[in-house]
Amino acid sequence: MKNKKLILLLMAVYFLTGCWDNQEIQERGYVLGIAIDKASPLPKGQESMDEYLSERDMEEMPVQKGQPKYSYTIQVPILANARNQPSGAGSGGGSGEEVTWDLTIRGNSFMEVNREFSTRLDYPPYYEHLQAIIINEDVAKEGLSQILDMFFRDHEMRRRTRIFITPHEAKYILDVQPRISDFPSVYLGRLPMNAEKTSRILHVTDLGEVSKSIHTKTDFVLPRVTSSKDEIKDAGSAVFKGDKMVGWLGEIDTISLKWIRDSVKGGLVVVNMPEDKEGGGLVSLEVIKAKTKVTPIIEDDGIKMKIDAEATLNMSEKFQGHHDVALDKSFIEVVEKKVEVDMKRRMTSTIKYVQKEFGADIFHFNRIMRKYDPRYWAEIEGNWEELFKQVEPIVNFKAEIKQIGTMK
Amino acid sequence: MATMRKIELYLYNVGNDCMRLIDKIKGVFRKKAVEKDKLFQYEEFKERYVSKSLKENRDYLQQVFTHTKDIIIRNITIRATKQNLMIVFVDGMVDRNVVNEHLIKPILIDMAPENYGRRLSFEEIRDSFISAAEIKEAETFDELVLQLLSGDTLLFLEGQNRGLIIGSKGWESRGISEPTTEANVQGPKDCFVETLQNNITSIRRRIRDPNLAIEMLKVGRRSKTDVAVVYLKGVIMDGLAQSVIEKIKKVDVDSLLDSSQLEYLIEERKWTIFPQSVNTERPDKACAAIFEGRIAILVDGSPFAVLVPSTFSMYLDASDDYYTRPLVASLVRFTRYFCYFLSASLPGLYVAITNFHPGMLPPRLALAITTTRVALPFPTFVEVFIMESVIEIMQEAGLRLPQAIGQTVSIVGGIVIGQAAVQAGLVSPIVTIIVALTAIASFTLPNYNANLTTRTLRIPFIIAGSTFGFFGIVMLALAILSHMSAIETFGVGYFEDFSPYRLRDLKDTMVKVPASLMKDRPELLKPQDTVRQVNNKSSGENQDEK
Repeated sequence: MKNKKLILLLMAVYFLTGCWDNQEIQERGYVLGIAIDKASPLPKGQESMDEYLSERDMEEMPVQKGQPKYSYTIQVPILANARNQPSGAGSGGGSGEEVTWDLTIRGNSFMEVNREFSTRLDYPPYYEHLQAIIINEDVAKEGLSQILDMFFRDHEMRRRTRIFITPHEAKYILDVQPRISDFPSVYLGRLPMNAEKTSRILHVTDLGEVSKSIHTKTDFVLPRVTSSKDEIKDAGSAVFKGDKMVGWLGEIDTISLKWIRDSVKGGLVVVNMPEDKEGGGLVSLEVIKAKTKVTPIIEDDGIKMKIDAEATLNMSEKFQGHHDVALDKSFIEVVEKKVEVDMKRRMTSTIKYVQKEFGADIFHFNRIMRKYDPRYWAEIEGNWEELFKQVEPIVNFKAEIKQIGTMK
Repeated sequence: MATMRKIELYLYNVGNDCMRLIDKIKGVFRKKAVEKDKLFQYEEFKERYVSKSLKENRDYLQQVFTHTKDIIIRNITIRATKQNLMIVFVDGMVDRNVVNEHLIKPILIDMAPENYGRRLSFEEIRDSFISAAEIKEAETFDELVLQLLSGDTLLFLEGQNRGLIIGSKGWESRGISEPTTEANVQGPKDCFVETLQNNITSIRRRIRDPNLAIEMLKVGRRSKTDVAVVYLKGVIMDGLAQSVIEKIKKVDVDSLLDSSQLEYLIEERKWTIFPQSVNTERPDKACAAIFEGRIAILVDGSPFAVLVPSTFSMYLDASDDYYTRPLVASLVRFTRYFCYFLSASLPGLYVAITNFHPGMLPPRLALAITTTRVALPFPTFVEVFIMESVIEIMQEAGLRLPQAIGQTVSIVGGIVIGQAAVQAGLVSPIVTIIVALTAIASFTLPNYNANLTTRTLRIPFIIAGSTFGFFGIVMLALAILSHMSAIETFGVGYFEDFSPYRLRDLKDTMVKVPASLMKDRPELLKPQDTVRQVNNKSSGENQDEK
């Protein structure tokens, strides 16, 4: 009897929950990328007027409240057409056929639009494999928190989804036809992994990071992407103050930013040798190890930031001079010195530029201040926006060249 | 009232008399038939004493064995003394050499009148003439018939109300060969055979301890199968052997053809799918278990010894583990535990992941799996079920067919079912890989019963995975684990080598420590003598295992 009750209880646990989320793997519409634009996308390509109009009709959605503000595009793969597919899987993909299906709908709330997609898509959209969210510059300037709220909230969304900002129509990025990969979103989603090769790419720019920054009221940066017909370029960054974009940061400034933020994964430092030393010329040095420590110095006349960066470098390229020169210790020391001076100048100028142009604390000095002196931080927190602009940076850069490369 | 009763009684008696009369009349015509159909029980033999008259004994035996033609009754008369003897044996069960050279020859030649002029007494014949080693006397037929049917030879002497049992067992038996179900690379390669005596010898050769107890029992009302219960006195847990023997004695069946039948009759849980005693055809494994403080049960006619009490880890131990280096053995054991898990749950996990949690896969893998499934007609659940059935059919077919054709089955099955089904777009290649991997994982399990268990568990796992996803898998795994922990064999828990934490018992489970560190017997068996080896680091000599 006791057993029977236990079995009944177990059965209840089983059957009361049900298999509500059972869905065959091939019957899910994997949304690989989302593009968010302002609500009037430009005509697409060279299509005839009829096609264009019917396409536009599809994109219309009567919204429950207000006027459509945004235009959302989702990208679903057409796996049967994919070029890279297992040999055992049915018919191979025909070249030239479209491998993705991009659906655009204009509306306000993403959730509402998301459900509206179900009127056009026979597979329910599924976001757990979302690779990239691409946001148009104009949309970003109006603020991210409204459009990204559903991405922060929904259980299907992953914190690791990457966010990109583009100065052009975000939709065009999804229209790219990559050369090797099948799907532009996957192609784009993998680009930030190259941050180990060059510091011009921002790499911790996922949904979780944005969520953290917005909710702790920290300014942040997101990568800038641009596209051609078959390529996407990920370099430079968009500066955000609060949740609103305020401007762009160039590629070189992005490198400095990453040095200050202690997020350098790799990349190069290129310096120009003075003419009197072995004919001058360029020297490229690869970053092997990088470490930056930022310490605030609080004085009566203002806050100073002591930025101590240490770098271990390998010499990868040298334009001028005999190769023996590199074996000379004094030459190495000169290069080291040059790197130190150059980097110090660049980092200082980046900070000054950001302070002057945007006033956005993208270096996360506020986090450092809070950690360093929480009580003092509580006093100045309300006034930080003004104080940040007056922070005086003291940059120290220490470079050490470990290897000079092989010669054959 | 009384008269009525009298009349009733009278009528009853008359009726009975009539019936008896009719029976008698019938009997006259069918006397032989009745005799033929007479059934004999050992209980009856107990009451039946050996007669002094040789003819009477012969008639009785002939009557008992009316239908058997292989009972040979040989009459011998010694002319000079007019002494009559009768020799009875079963053809094929006896060693003819013993009967001819050591029984008939001495009687015919040595007892000839030129050697002996006088009548010889029963004792003289027994003690001085028969040159066989094993000899016994019996007065009732139960013993006599049983020994006769076991392969011994009976000798009756005119005028004596007892019979002699001469040990002459000897029949064609399979030579000791390599184990077929528990193959190994290193270590002894002999194997139990169908003859109990050979098997006991195999154990005795390895355990020369005077405390080795071999208790002989007979099981089976009709088969009277010999059963040997082997254990080490002074090592085994107090009372364990008695309880096992008692259980075996209580078994009341017609016949016992294999040790596994006995295993199922004495086990505690009838409905569980988990084996509760290990059966092995390896004498070294049986001996290792006896040394640990377990019991080996041997059954005549079965090449498998049953080891009780058993714990879960025993099913995943191969003898090879003890003959290879401990680190290697531990790695192999890890693989085996992992394979046990895979073999039971991999198809279920696959169905659960693809149907419920594709977000857990890396995106490229998810897309690859999806791509292979785009044009397939069946849902994953059905697909996995079909392929599982195919594998089961192939396994069964390969097992039943003769070895030469069995290989054809695997080739035809593997290529046709695997390759062709994928190319025809009926199943996805990933499911083929999953099912094949599952089947191969199950082959790594050294114990065939454990293999069968995982094969059975696969089906509930597929069902749970396809209805409730990971939630179902976890629930089922919990239910199975709690069931396994509840199983007890002869007072020892199924998981006792893992569960109450005892370092001593864990040394020989998933990880096998070097032999020099296994100084004590496993604690879970509560051995009387716990010490397995004495520490002798400096000399490095191995103390004998006790």
